[in-house]
Amino acid sequence: MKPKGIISTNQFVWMLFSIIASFATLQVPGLLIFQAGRDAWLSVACAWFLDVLLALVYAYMGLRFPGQSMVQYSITILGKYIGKIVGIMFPIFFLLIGSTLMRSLSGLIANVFLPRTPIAVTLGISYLLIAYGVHKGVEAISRTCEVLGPLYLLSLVVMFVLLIPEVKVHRLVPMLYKGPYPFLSGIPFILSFIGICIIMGMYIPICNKPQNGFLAKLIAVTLGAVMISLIISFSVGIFGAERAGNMVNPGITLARLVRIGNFFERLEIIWFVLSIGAGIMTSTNLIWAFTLGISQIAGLSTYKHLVYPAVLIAFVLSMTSFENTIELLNFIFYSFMFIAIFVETGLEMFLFIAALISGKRG
Amino acid sequence: MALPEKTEKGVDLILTIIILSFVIIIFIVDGLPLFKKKQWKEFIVIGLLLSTALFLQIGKDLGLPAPVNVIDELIRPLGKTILQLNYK
Repeated sequence: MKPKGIISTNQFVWMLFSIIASFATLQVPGLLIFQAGRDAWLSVACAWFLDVLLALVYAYMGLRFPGQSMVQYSITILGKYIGKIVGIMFPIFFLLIGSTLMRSLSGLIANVFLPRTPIAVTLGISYLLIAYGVHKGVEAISRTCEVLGPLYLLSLVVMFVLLIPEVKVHRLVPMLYKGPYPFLSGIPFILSFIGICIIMGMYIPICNKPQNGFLAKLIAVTLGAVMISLIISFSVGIFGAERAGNMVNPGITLARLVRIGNFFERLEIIWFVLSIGAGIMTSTNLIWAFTLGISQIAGLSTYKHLVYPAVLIAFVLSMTSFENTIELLNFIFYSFMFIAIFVETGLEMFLFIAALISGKRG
Repeated sequence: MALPEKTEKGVDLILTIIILSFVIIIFIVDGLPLFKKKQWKEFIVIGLLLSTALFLQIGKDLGLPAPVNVIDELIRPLGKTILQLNYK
Protein backbone atom coordinates (compact mmCIF):
# COMPACT_ATOMS: atom_id res chain seq x y z
CA MET A 1 0.00 0.00 0.00
CA LYS A 2 1.01 3.61 -0.49
CA PRO A 3 0.69 5.88 2.56
CA LYS A 4 -1.71 8.70 1.80
CA GLY A 5 -0.54 11.48 4.13
CA ILE A 6 1.87 14.17 3.04
CA ILE A 7 4.23 15.93 5.42
CA SER A 8 6.39 19.01 4.92
CA THR A 9 10.13 19.17 5.50
CA ASN A 10 9.54 21.29 8.59
CA GLN A 11 7.24 18.63 10.06
CA PHE A 12 9.78 15.96 9.11
CA VAL A 13 12.42 17.80 11.17
CA TRP A 14 10.23 18.17 14.27
CA MET A 15 9.06 14.56 14.13
CA LEU A 16 12.65 13.34 14.10
CA PHE A 17 13.68 15.86 16.75
CA SER A 18 10.89 14.66 19.08
CA ILE A 19 12.07 11.08 18.59
CA ILE A 20 15.72 11.81 19.37
CA ALA A 21 15.16 14.30 22.17
CA SER A 22 12.52 12.22 23.97
CA PHE A 23 15.28 9.81 24.98
CA ALA A 24 17.11 12.70 26.65
CA THR A 25 14.46 12.74 29.38
CA LEU A 26 14.74 9.04 30.04
CA GLN A 27 17.49 6.91 31.55
CA VAL A 28 19.78 7.08 28.51
CA PRO A 29 21.99 10.07 29.49
CA GLY A 30 22.52 8.63 32.99
CA LEU A 31 23.55 5.25 31.59
CA LEU A 32 25.90 6.91 29.11
CA ILE A 33 27.56 8.95 31.88
CA PHE A 34 27.82 5.74 33.90
CA GLN A 35 29.70 4.13 31.00
CA ALA A 36 31.75 7.01 29.61
CA GLY A 37 32.06 9.30 32.62
CA ARG A 38 32.80 12.96 31.93
CA ASP A 39 33.70 12.09 28.31
CA ALA A 40 30.11 11.03 27.57
CA TRP A 41 29.54 14.12 25.40
CA LEU A 42 32.38 12.90 23.15
CA SER A 43 30.46 9.65 22.60
CA VAL A 44 27.42 11.70 21.55
CA ALA A 45 29.54 13.78 19.14
CA CYS A 46 31.02 10.67 17.49
CA ALA A 47 27.61 8.96 17.38
CA TRP A 48 26.19 12.10 15.72
CA PHE A 49 28.85 11.89 13.00
CA LEU A 50 28.20 8.18 12.37
CA ASP A 51 24.46 8.79 12.32
CA VAL A 52 24.85 11.53 9.71
CA LEU A 53 26.82 9.08 7.54
CA LEU A 54 24.02 6.55 8.01
CA ALA A 55 21.47 9.21 7.08
CA LEU A 56 23.25 9.62 3.73
CA VAL A 57 22.55 5.96 2.96
CA TYR A 58 18.88 6.22 3.99
CA ALA A 59 18.42 9.44 2.00
CA TYR A 60 20.11 7.91 -1.06
CA MET A 61 17.94 4.79 -0.86
CA GLY A 62 14.84 6.96 -0.45
CA LEU A 63 15.70 8.75 -3.69
CA ARG A 64 16.79 5.59 -5.53
CA PHE A 65 13.43 4.00 -4.74
CA PRO A 66 11.04 6.97 -4.97
CA GLY A 67 7.74 6.54 -3.19
CA GLN A 68 8.92 3.41 -1.38
CA SER A 69 9.63 2.96 2.31
CA MET A 70 12.49 0.73 3.49
CA VAL A 71 10.01 -2.10 3.94
CA GLN A 72 8.90 -1.80 0.33
CA TYR A 73 12.33 -1.44 -1.22
CA SER A 74 13.62 -4.45 0.68
CA ILE A 75 10.97 -6.45 -1.24
CA THR A 76 11.95 -4.73 -4.51
CA ILE A 77 15.64 -5.53 -3.96
CA LEU A 78 15.54 -9.00 -2.44
CA GLY A 79 12.38 -10.42 -3.97
CA LYS A 80 9.05 -11.44 -2.52
CA TYR A 81 10.13 -13.95 0.13
CA ILE A 82 13.59 -12.91 1.41
CA GLY A 83 12.58 -9.26 0.98
CA LYS A 84 9.58 -9.75 3.25
CA ILE A 85 11.68 -11.53 5.89
CA VAL A 86 14.21 -8.68 5.91
CA GLY A 87 11.54 -5.99 5.56
CA ILE A 88 9.44 -7.19 8.51
CA MET A 89 12.40 -6.69 10.85
CA PHE A 90 12.04 -2.89 10.54
CA PRO A 91 8.41 -2.71 11.79
CA ILE A 92 9.11 -5.27 14.52
CA PHE A 93 12.05 -3.14 15.62
CA PHE A 94 9.80 -0.06 15.76
CA LEU A 95 7.29 -1.99 17.86
CA LEU A 96 10.04 -3.09 20.22
CA ILE A 97 11.30 0.47 20.70
CA GLY A 98 7.79 1.89 21.02
CA SER A 99 6.82 -0.57 23.76
CA THR A 100 10.15 -0.25 25.59
CA LEU A 101 9.97 3.54 25.45
CA MET A 102 6.45 3.57 26.90
CA ARG A 103 7.46 1.13 29.65
CA SER A 104 10.40 3.35 30.46
CA LEU A 105 8.28 6.51 30.45
CA SER A 106 5.58 4.94 32.64
CA GLY A 107 8.24 3.78 35.07
CA LEU A 108 9.51 7.32 35.22
CA ILE A 109 6.03 8.75 35.84
CA ALA A 110 5.49 6.14 38.55
CA ASN A 111 8.84 6.91 40.20
CA VAL A 112 8.61 10.67 40.07
CA PHE A 113 4.96 11.69 40.24
CA LEU A 114 2.48 8.83 40.66
CA PRO A 115 4.12 6.26 42.95
CA ARG A 116 0.81 4.68 44.05
CA THR A 117 -0.72 4.33 40.59
CA PRO A 118 -0.25 0.90 38.97
CA ILE A 119 1.95 1.06 35.91
CA ALA A 120 -0.77 -0.70 33.86
CA VAL A 121 -3.05 2.32 34.37
CA THR A 122 -0.42 4.84 33.22
CA LEU A 123 0.45 2.61 30.27
CA GLY A 124 -3.18 2.00 29.37
CA ILE A 125 -4.01 5.71 29.25
CA SER A 126 -0.87 6.45 27.23
CA TYR A 127 -1.69 3.72 24.73
CA LEU A 128 -5.24 5.04 24.33
CA LEU A 129 -3.72 8.39 23.30
CA ILE A 130 -1.30 6.61 20.98
CA ALA A 131 -4.09 4.60 19.35
CA TYR A 132 -6.06 7.82 18.80
CA GLY A 133 -3.02 9.50 17.24
CA VAL A 134 -2.12 6.60 14.96
CA HIS A 135 -5.74 6.25 13.85
CA LYS A 136 -5.84 9.95 12.92
CA GLY A 137 -2.93 9.38 10.53
CA VAL A 138 0.53 10.70 9.93
CA GLU A 139 -0.63 14.21 9.02
CA ALA A 140 -2.20 14.69 12.44
CA ILE A 141 0.89 13.22 14.11
CA SER A 142 3.19 15.53 12.15
CA ARG A 143 1.12 18.61 12.97
CA THR A 144 1.21 17.73 16.67
CA CYS A 145 4.99 17.25 16.52
CA GLU A 146 5.31 20.58 14.71
CA VAL A 147 3.68 22.27 17.72
CA LEU A 148 5.19 20.15 20.45
CA GLY A 149 8.76 19.93 19.08
CA PRO A 150 9.59 23.67 19.24
CA LEU A 151 7.99 23.94 22.70
CA TYR A 152 10.08 21.04 23.92
CA LEU A 153 13.24 22.56 22.43
CA LEU A 154 12.39 25.90 24.04
CA SER A 155 11.84 24.26 27.43
CA LEU A 156 15.23 22.56 27.18
CA VAL A 157 16.97 25.80 26.17
CA VAL A 158 15.31 27.76 28.99
CA MET A 159 16.32 25.05 31.46
CA PHE A 160 19.95 25.20 30.32
CA VAL A 161 20.06 29.00 30.44
CA LEU A 162 18.68 29.06 33.99
CA LEU A 163 21.15 26.39 35.09
CA ILE A 164 24.31 28.03 33.72
CA PRO A 165 25.26 29.63 37.09
CA GLU A 166 25.24 26.18 38.75
CA VAL A 167 27.74 24.58 36.35
CA LYS A 168 31.31 24.01 37.56
CA VAL A 169 33.37 23.76 34.39
CA HIS A 170 36.33 22.14 36.16
CA ARG A 171 34.17 19.02 36.66
CA LEU A 172 34.23 18.43 32.91
CA VAL A 173 38.03 18.06 32.81
CA PRO A 174 40.45 16.29 32.51
CA MET A 175 39.27 14.60 29.35
CA LEU A 176 40.16 10.98 28.54
CA TYR A 177 41.38 10.51 32.11
CA LYS A 178 40.61 6.77 31.97
CA GLY A 179 41.77 6.39 28.37
CA PRO A 180 39.66 6.30 25.23
CA TYR A 181 37.82 3.00 25.94
CA PRO A 182 34.96 4.38 28.07
CA PHE A 183 33.90 6.96 25.51
CA LEU A 184 34.54 4.62 22.56
CA SER A 185 32.32 1.95 24.11
CA GLY A 186 29.69 4.62 24.75
CA ILE A 187 29.45 5.39 21.02
CA PRO A 188 27.47 2.28 19.94
CA PHE A 189 25.27 2.67 23.03
CA ILE A 190 24.17 6.22 22.22
CA LEU A 191 24.22 5.58 18.45
CA SER A 192 21.58 2.92 18.96
CA PHE A 193 19.23 5.59 20.38
CA ILE A 194 20.09 8.44 18.02
CA GLY A 195 19.82 5.92 15.17
CA ILE A 196 16.12 5.36 15.88
CA CYS A 197 15.52 8.13 13.40
CA ILE A 198 16.02 5.51 10.68
CA ILE A 199 12.27 5.95 10.78
CA MET A 200 13.10 8.65 8.20
CA GLY A 201 12.97 5.72 5.74
CA MET A 202 9.21 5.65 6.38
CA TYR A 203 8.86 9.46 6.15
CA ILE A 204 10.78 10.09 2.91
CA PRO A 205 8.06 8.57 0.65
CA ILE A 206 5.42 10.80 2.23
CA CYS A 207 7.50 13.99 2.37
CA ASN A 208 6.44 16.65 -0.13
CA LYS A 209 10.13 17.15 -1.00
CA PRO A 210 11.86 13.75 -0.71
CA GLN A 211 15.18 15.30 -1.77
CA ASN A 212 15.16 17.22 1.54
CA GLY A 213 15.23 13.97 3.55
CA PHE A 214 18.92 14.22 4.36
CA LEU A 215 18.72 17.91 5.26
CA ALA A 216 15.76 17.26 7.58
CA LYS A 217 17.55 14.43 9.29
CA LEU A 218 20.76 16.49 9.58
CA ILE A 219 18.95 19.38 11.28
CA ALA A 220 16.95 17.10 13.58
CA VAL A 221 19.83 14.89 14.60
CA THR A 222 22.11 17.89 15.18
CA LEU A 223 19.52 19.58 17.40
CA GLY A 224 18.83 16.32 19.21
CA ALA A 225 22.51 15.45 19.72
CA VAL A 226 23.25 18.97 20.99
CA MET A 227 20.41 18.68 23.51
CA ILE A 228 21.59 15.25 24.73
CA SER A 229 25.19 16.55 24.95
CA LEU A 230 24.02 19.57 26.94
CA ILE A 231 22.02 17.40 29.35
CA ILE A 232 25.12 15.24 29.84
CA SER A 233 27.54 18.18 30.20
CA PHE A 234 25.23 20.05 32.59
CA SER A 235 24.69 16.91 34.68
CA VAL A 236 28.44 16.28 34.92
CA GLY A 237 29.19 19.98 35.43
CA ILE A 238 26.67 20.32 38.25
CA PHE A 239 26.71 16.94 39.99
CA GLY A 240 30.05 15.48 38.93
CA ALA A 241 30.50 12.41 36.72
CA GLU A 242 30.19 9.79 39.47
CA ARG A 243 27.00 11.18 40.99
CA ALA A 244 25.38 11.89 37.61
CA GLY A 245 26.27 8.38 36.40
CA ASN A 246 24.45 6.84 39.34
CA MET A 247 21.29 8.88 38.80
CA VAL A 248 18.39 7.07 37.20
CA ASN A 249 17.36 10.22 35.44
CA PRO A 250 19.75 13.18 35.38
CA GLY A 251 17.38 15.23 33.18
CA ILE A 252 14.65 15.31 35.84
CA THR A 253 17.18 16.05 38.57
CA LEU A 254 18.51 18.97 36.53
CA ALA A 255 14.99 20.29 35.96
CA ARG A 256 14.37 20.17 39.71
CA LEU A 257 17.19 22.64 40.28
CA VAL A 258 15.53 25.27 38.13
CA ARG A 259 14.04 28.18 40.02
CA ILE A 260 13.33 31.79 39.22
CA GLY A 261 14.17 34.10 42.12
CA ASN A 262 13.12 32.63 45.45
CA PHE A 263 9.47 32.18 44.69
CA PHE A 264 9.05 30.18 41.43
CA GLU A 265 10.04 26.65 42.34
CA ARG A 266 9.15 23.09 41.26
CA LEU A 267 9.18 24.22 37.64
CA GLU A 268 10.28 20.78 36.51
CA ILE A 269 6.66 19.78 36.02
CA ILE A 270 6.39 22.09 32.97
CA TRP A 271 9.42 20.48 31.37
CA PHE A 272 8.29 17.01 32.39
CA VAL A 273 4.83 17.45 30.87
CA LEU A 274 6.40 18.50 27.57
CA SER A 275 8.85 15.63 27.66
CA ILE A 276 6.06 13.12 28.34
CA GLY A 277 4.24 14.64 25.36
CA ALA A 278 7.35 14.16 23.23
CA GLY A 279 7.69 10.57 24.49
CA ILE A 280 4.08 9.74 23.65
CA MET A 281 4.42 11.34 20.21
CA THR A 282 7.58 9.30 19.63
CA SER A 283 5.75 6.12 20.50
CA THR A 284 2.86 7.20 18.27
CA ASN A 285 5.30 7.64 15.38
CA LEU A 286 6.83 4.23 16.05
CA ILE A 287 3.50 2.40 16.28
CA TRP A 288 2.36 4.19 13.10
CA ALA A 289 5.54 2.95 11.38
CA PHE A 290 4.87 -0.56 12.68
CA THR A 291 1.28 -0.68 11.41
CA LEU A 292 2.25 0.85 8.06
CA GLY A 293 5.19 -1.54 7.67
CA ILE A 294 3.10 -4.61 8.47
CA SER A 295 0.36 -3.52 6.06
CA GLN A 296 3.00 -3.02 3.33
CA ILE A 297 4.43 -6.48 3.98
CA ALA A 298 0.98 -8.05 3.86
CA GLY A 299 -0.06 -5.95 0.87
CA LEU A 300 -3.10 -4.39 2.57
CA SER A 301 -5.01 -1.42 1.20
CA THR A 302 -4.91 0.52 4.47
CA TYR A 303 -3.15 0.26 7.81
CA LYS A 304 -6.07 1.60 9.85
CA HIS A 305 -7.50 -1.85 10.61
CA LEU A 306 -4.24 -2.78 12.32
CA VAL A 307 -4.04 0.18 14.70
CA TYR A 308 -5.86 -1.29 17.70
CA PRO A 309 -4.33 -4.80 17.46
CA ALA A 310 -0.87 -3.19 17.15
CA VAL A 311 -1.45 -0.98 20.17
CA LEU A 312 -2.67 -4.01 22.13
CA ILE A 313 0.51 -5.95 21.27
CA ALA A 314 2.64 -2.95 22.29
CA PHE A 315 0.76 -2.75 25.61
CA VAL A 316 1.23 -6.47 26.28
CA LEU A 317 4.92 -6.26 25.35
CA SER A 318 5.38 -3.29 27.70
CA MET A 319 3.69 -5.18 30.52
CA THR A 320 5.22 -8.61 30.05
CA SER A 321 8.80 -7.88 28.97
CA PHE A 322 10.15 -6.28 32.12
CA GLU A 323 9.28 -7.09 35.72
CA ASN A 324 10.90 -3.94 37.09
CA THR A 325 13.04 -0.94 36.21
CA ILE A 326 16.31 -2.80 36.87
CA GLU A 327 15.45 -5.42 34.24
CA LEU A 328 14.53 -2.65 31.84
CA LEU A 329 17.79 -0.80 32.49
CA ASN A 330 19.82 -3.99 32.05
CA PHE A 331 18.13 -4.61 28.70
CA ILE A 332 18.67 -1.03 27.54
CA PHE A 333 22.27 -0.99 28.72
CA TYR A 334 23.58 -4.41 27.68
CA SER A 335 21.40 -5.79 24.90
CA PHE A 336 19.49 -3.06 23.09
CA MET A 337 22.47 -1.64 21.21
CA PHE A 338 23.15 -4.94 19.43
CA ILE A 339 19.56 -5.29 18.23
CA ALA A 340 19.46 -1.62 17.23
CA ILE A 341 22.76 -1.58 15.37
CA PHE A 342 21.87 -4.81 13.57
CA VAL A 343 18.64 -3.29 12.25
CA GLU A 344 19.65 0.36 11.89
CA THR A 345 23.04 -0.20 10.27
CA GLY A 346 23.41 -3.86 9.32
CA LEU A 347 20.14 -4.40 7.47
CA GLU A 348 20.20 -1.06 5.69
CA MET A 349 23.83 -1.45 4.57
CA PHE A 350 22.96 -4.95 3.36
CA LEU A 351 20.05 -3.54 1.32
CA PHE A 352 22.25 -0.69 0.05
CA ILE A 353 25.00 -3.06 -1.14
CA ALA A 354 22.44 -5.49 -2.60
CA ALA A 355 20.81 -2.63 -4.52
CA LEU A 356 24.18 -1.46 -5.88
CA ILE A 357 25.24 -4.96 -6.92
CA SER A 358 21.91 -5.92 -8.48
CA GLY A 359 21.52 -2.46 -10.04
CA LYS A 360 17.84 -2.35 -9.05
CA ARG A 361 16.00 0.95 -8.92
CA GLY A 362 12.52 1.98 -7.94
CA MET B 1 -17.67 -14.53 40.92
CA ALA B 2 -15.01 -13.63 43.49
CA LEU B 3 -12.23 -11.35 42.29
CA PRO B 4 -8.74 -12.89 42.16
CA GLU B 5 -6.55 -12.12 45.17
CA LYS B 6 -4.33 -9.04 45.11
CA THR B 7 -1.16 -11.07 44.65
CA GLU B 8 1.21 -10.96 41.71
CA LYS B 9 -0.59 -13.91 40.10
CA GLY B 10 -3.97 -12.37 40.85
CA VAL B 11 -2.95 -9.11 39.19
CA ASP B 12 -1.63 -11.05 36.17
CA LEU B 13 -4.95 -12.91 35.93
CA ILE B 14 -6.95 -9.69 36.02
CA LEU B 15 -4.68 -8.29 33.31
CA THR B 16 -5.20 -11.41 31.19
CA ILE B 17 -8.98 -11.05 31.53
CA ILE B 18 -8.71 -7.39 30.48
CA ILE B 19 -6.51 -8.27 27.49
CA LEU B 20 -8.89 -11.08 26.48
CA SER B 21 -11.84 -8.67 26.64
CA PHE B 22 -9.98 -6.19 24.43
CA VAL B 23 -9.09 -8.95 21.96
CA ILE B 24 -12.77 -9.92 21.71
CA ILE B 25 -13.92 -6.30 21.37
CA ILE B 26 -11.34 -5.49 18.67
CA PHE B 27 -12.18 -8.72 16.86
CA ILE B 28 -15.89 -7.87 16.84
CA VAL B 29 -15.45 -4.20 15.93
CA ASP B 30 -12.55 -4.46 13.44
CA GLY B 31 -12.33 -8.12 12.41
CA LEU B 32 -15.91 -9.25 11.77
CA PRO B 33 -16.79 -6.48 9.25
CA LEU B 34 -13.71 -7.55 7.25
CA PHE B 35 -14.90 -11.16 7.36
CA LYS B 36 -18.31 -10.09 6.05
CA LYS B 37 -16.69 -8.04 3.26
CA LYS B 38 -14.45 -11.03 2.44
CA GLN B 39 -11.28 -8.97 2.91
CA TRP B 40 -9.33 -12.07 3.83
CA LYS B 41 -5.83 -10.58 3.96
CA GLU B 42 -6.85 -7.87 6.43
CA PHE B 43 -8.84 -10.39 8.45
CA ILE B 44 -5.89 -12.81 8.71
CA VAL B 45 -3.41 -10.09 9.68
CA ILE B 46 -5.74 -8.77 12.40
CA GLY B 47 -6.26 -12.34 13.64
CA LEU B 48 -2.50 -12.93 13.75
CA LEU B 49 -1.80 -9.69 15.63
CA LEU B 50 -4.57 -10.31 18.16
CA SER B 51 -3.51 -13.90 18.76
CA THR B 52 0.11 -12.73 19.23
CA ALA B 53 -1.02 -10.29 21.91
CA LEU B 54 -3.08 -12.98 23.63
CA PHE B 55 -0.31 -15.58 23.34
CA LEU B 56 2.25 -13.20 24.89
CA GLN B 57 -0.03 -12.45 27.82
CA ILE B 58 -1.07 -16.07 28.45
CA GLY B 59 2.56 -17.16 28.02
CA LYS B 60 3.51 -14.75 30.78
CA ASP B 61 0.85 -16.31 33.05
CA LEU B 62 2.19 -19.78 32.29
CA GLY B 63 5.72 -18.67 33.15
CA LEU B 64 7.07 -18.59 29.60
CA PRO B 65 9.73 -15.95 28.99
CA ALA B 66 8.79 -12.95 26.84
CA PRO B 67 10.58 -12.74 23.45
CA VAL B 68 12.51 -9.69 24.64
CA ASN B 69 13.80 -11.66 27.65
CA VAL B 70 14.99 -14.50 25.42
CA ILE B 71 16.92 -12.10 23.15
CA ASP B 72 18.22 -10.27 26.22
CA GLU B 73 19.56 -13.49 27.78
CA LEU B 74 21.31 -14.41 24.53
CA ILE B 75 22.96 -11.05 23.94
CA ARG B 76 23.68 -9.83 27.47
CA PRO B 77 27.00 -11.68 27.94
CA LEU B 78 28.34 -9.99 24.82
CA GLY B 79 27.14 -6.61 26.07
CA LYS B 80 28.82 -7.15 29.42
CA THR B 81 32.07 -8.10 27.72
CA ILE B 82 32.10 -5.04 25.51
CA LEU B 83 31.04 -2.56 28.17
CA GLN B 84 33.35 -4.25 30.71
CA LEU B 85 30.81 -3.68 33.42
CA ASN B 86 28.66 -5.79 35.66
CA TYR B 87 25.99 -4.56 38.02
CA LYS B 88 26.02 -7.77 40.08
